[in-house]
Amino acid sequence: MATPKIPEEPFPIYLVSSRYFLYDADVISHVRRIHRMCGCLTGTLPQIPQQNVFLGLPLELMSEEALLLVEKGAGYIVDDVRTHECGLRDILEEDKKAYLEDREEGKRRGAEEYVRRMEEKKNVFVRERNNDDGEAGEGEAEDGVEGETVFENSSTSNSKAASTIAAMAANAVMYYPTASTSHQIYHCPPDPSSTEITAPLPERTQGYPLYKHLHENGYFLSPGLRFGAQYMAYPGDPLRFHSHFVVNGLGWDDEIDMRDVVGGGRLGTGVKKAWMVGGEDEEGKVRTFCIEWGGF
Amino acid sequence: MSTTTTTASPHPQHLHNLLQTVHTHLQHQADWHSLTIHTSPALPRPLICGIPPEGGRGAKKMWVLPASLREKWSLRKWAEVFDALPGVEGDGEGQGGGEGEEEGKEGKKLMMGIVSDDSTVVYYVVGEGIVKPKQN
Repeated sequence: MATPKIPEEPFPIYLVSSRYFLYDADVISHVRRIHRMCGCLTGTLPQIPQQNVFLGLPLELMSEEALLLVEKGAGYIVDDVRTHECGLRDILEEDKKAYLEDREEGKRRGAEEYVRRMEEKKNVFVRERNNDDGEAGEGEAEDGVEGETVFENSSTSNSKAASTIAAMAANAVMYYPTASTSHQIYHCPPDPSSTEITAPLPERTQGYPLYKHLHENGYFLSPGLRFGAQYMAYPGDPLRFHSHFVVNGLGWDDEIDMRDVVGGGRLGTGVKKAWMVGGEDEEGKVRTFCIEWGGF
Repeated sequence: MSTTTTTASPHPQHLHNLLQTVHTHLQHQADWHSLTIHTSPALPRPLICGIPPEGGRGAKKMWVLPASLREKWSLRKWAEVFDALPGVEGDGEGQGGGEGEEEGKEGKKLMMGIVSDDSTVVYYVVGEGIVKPKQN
C-alpha cells in the first residue's frame, strides 16, 4: 500500500455556504490520524444522490473541528467563492492568455479527434453497407441509395469536418478552474502581519469548549444526531471503537429540564453509553457530568 | 435504619419533603440499608447516604440527591453538589459519614432520586468527569 503523502500545514479548509470542506484525500487521512477528526464524507454521485451509504469526497468538517484546526495552526479557512472571484480578477494577463490558448488548443485537438472518429465510424459503416449491397438482391438497391444520402461521400466530408471544428469552437463553454483543484496562487495561508480581511473564523458554538475538552482527552467526536445528541464521543478511532458517550454541550446556567435528565439517562443506557452534559464554568474550566440509569 | 432528622435544618421544608419520599422509597421499595440523612449549610440541599442491596449497584455506600421532576437543573447545580460532597463527611449530622469518605475520593459519583407528582421515584447515577459507562 502506498504511504499517504503528509500534507503541509497549514492546509486550506474550504468554506462554502457556511460549511467547511476538505477536498484532498491526503489531508483527510492526515487530519484523522494526527488530529483525531473524522468529519463526514458528503460526496455522492450526481445521478444517484439517494445513494448515501458509501459517500466520498469532499469531507465536511463540523464547525468545531474547523475552528480547532485553525486554532492549532493546522489549517486556515479559504472563502471559496471570494477566493475564486479574486483569483479570476487578479490573474496576470499573460497567464490568462497562455491559459486561454492552451484551452483553445485542447478544444481544437478534441474536435479534431471527434471528427476523425466519426469519419472512421462512417467509413466502417459504408464499407459494411457496400458489402451487404453486393450480396443482396436488386430489390435492396433503394436502401443503398438512401444510405448514400445520410452520409455524404468522402470528397465533401473534409470541408464539412473543418466547419464542424469551427462551430464547436464557437459554441464551447468557457471553462475556469475551480478552487478545489487550483494552484497555490489562488490562496495561501494568511499572513499574520497583513491587515487584509481573511475568511471569518468558524463560529464558537456553545458546545465548543466541551468539544475541545473531550478532544484534548483523546476522544474522537462526531455529530450526534443519530443518537439524539450534539456529539458522539469515541475513545479512539470510530472504526475501532464503539462510542462511550452521547454528548450535549451547555452553558453553565442553562436550564436542564429534569425530564431531559431522565430521557438522556435512559437514551444513553439504552445504547450502552452514558449521557454526558458539560460546559465551561465561570473560570473557563470545562466540567462534565455523565448520567446513566440507576438500574432500578 | 439510622435516620437522622434535625430540628433546625438549614434547608427549606419542601426539600425535606422531597427527601422523605426518596428515603421511604429507598428503604421500603429498593431495600437499601444504612440510610442516613445529611443536612449541612455546606450542602445545596439535604442528601441521603445509603448502601444498595446485594446484587444491586455493589455494596458500596452511595450518595442520593433528591430532586423533583418539576424543577429545572443546570450544570452549576450539579457542580455545587459535587463540590460540597467531600466536605460532608465529619461535619454532617448524619451517622456513618466517615465511611463515605472513600467513596467521595474515587471519581465522585452520586445518584439522583427524581420524584414525580405521582410519587414515582426514578434513579440516575451521575458521575463527575469523563466516566466510562458501565456496559461499555
